[in-house]
Amino acid sequence: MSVSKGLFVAYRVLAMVVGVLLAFCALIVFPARHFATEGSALQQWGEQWSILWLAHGWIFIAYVVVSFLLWRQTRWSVPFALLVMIAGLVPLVIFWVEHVVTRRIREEHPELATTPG
Amino acid sequence: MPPDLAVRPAARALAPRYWGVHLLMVAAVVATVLLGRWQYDVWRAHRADNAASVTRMSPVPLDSVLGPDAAYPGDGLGRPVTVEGTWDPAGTVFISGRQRDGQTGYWAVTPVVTASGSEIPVVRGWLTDPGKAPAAPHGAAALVGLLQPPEDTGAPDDDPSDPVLPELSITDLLQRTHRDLYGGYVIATDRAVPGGTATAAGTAGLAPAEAEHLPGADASTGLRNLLYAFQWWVFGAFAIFMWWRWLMEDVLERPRRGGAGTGG
Repeated sequence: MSVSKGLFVAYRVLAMVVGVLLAFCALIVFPARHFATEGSALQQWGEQWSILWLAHGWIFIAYVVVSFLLWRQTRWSVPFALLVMIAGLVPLVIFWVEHVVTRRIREEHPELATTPG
Repeated sequence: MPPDLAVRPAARALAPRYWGVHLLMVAAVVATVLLGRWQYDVWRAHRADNAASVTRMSPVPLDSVLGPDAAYPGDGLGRPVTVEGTWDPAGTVFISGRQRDGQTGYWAVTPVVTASGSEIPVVRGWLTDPGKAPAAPHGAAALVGLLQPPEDTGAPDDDPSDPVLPELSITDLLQRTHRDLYGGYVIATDRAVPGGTATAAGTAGLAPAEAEHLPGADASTGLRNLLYAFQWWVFGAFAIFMWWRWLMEDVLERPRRGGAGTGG
């Protein structure tokens, strides 16, 4: 089955947004909120920005839905599909997974190889 | 479609090579339900804590919140106030039908005459049997109590001659005293009265009574946790959907009607 170009682009955009949000939340906001001195400016900054977890959560749901639709078109194996979806929960891994997915889709669907990026 | 597939799709779907995926789906659903429940409980705890937060405020003198002749203030629910004056043990009554830890009992209520000359009913505590109540306190009273609005639903007192009332109604209490009454009552706590006055709360021998009227929590309290809870549950539902589509299309090879997306 062919892969929809719109879906492919949506996947890549969502992967980047989820990846940046997750890295920011997990590697910067979380340590600031939990390891900085209680009541310090840094700790309060972490408290404020921890609202982004909520954004990550909902955008991640969109990412999973798009990944699922892409999976239905590509018929990846179950383990690979799971890797793609769960990558949105592990900081930084999603950037590598997005790279692998992009390469794989371009190899299997040369008609999409012209997509910029 | 192979003939055996048409006859026995269940057998094919349950083939051992797919057990791992089925198990994973079940684990994912259980995990998301539990994680959602956890966030939901955090949300509930935040709300209960927010509602009770008023009771942790520093006490202020009773008359600064509720004057002797004033109507009950809107922000007075559960507000800690200091009550000082003289106990009026003769005015002691018991309020029936009070819950504590799932048990029904009575509140022991004794009024305190404040400097203004008016009486404020003080719920000293909870007990199961008014016949075994400790003696009502007398002399100087000094306590921190949680302010509560009067109960005046008009519940009939089946025996006006005994000291047992169906609700803490200021109207009913007015008939038992020659003094004025405040438009509310307080629930005694064991907190120290600020300013060093020796606390005389009259709570000895009684179980603590619980404030029944507290302000509601803000709508936004813990909202984030409620949204997290929904996120988890949406995930769980989507996990089931994904598993189902995979089972139908990849295992049983029944393509969705209309076909999945076309090339772009």
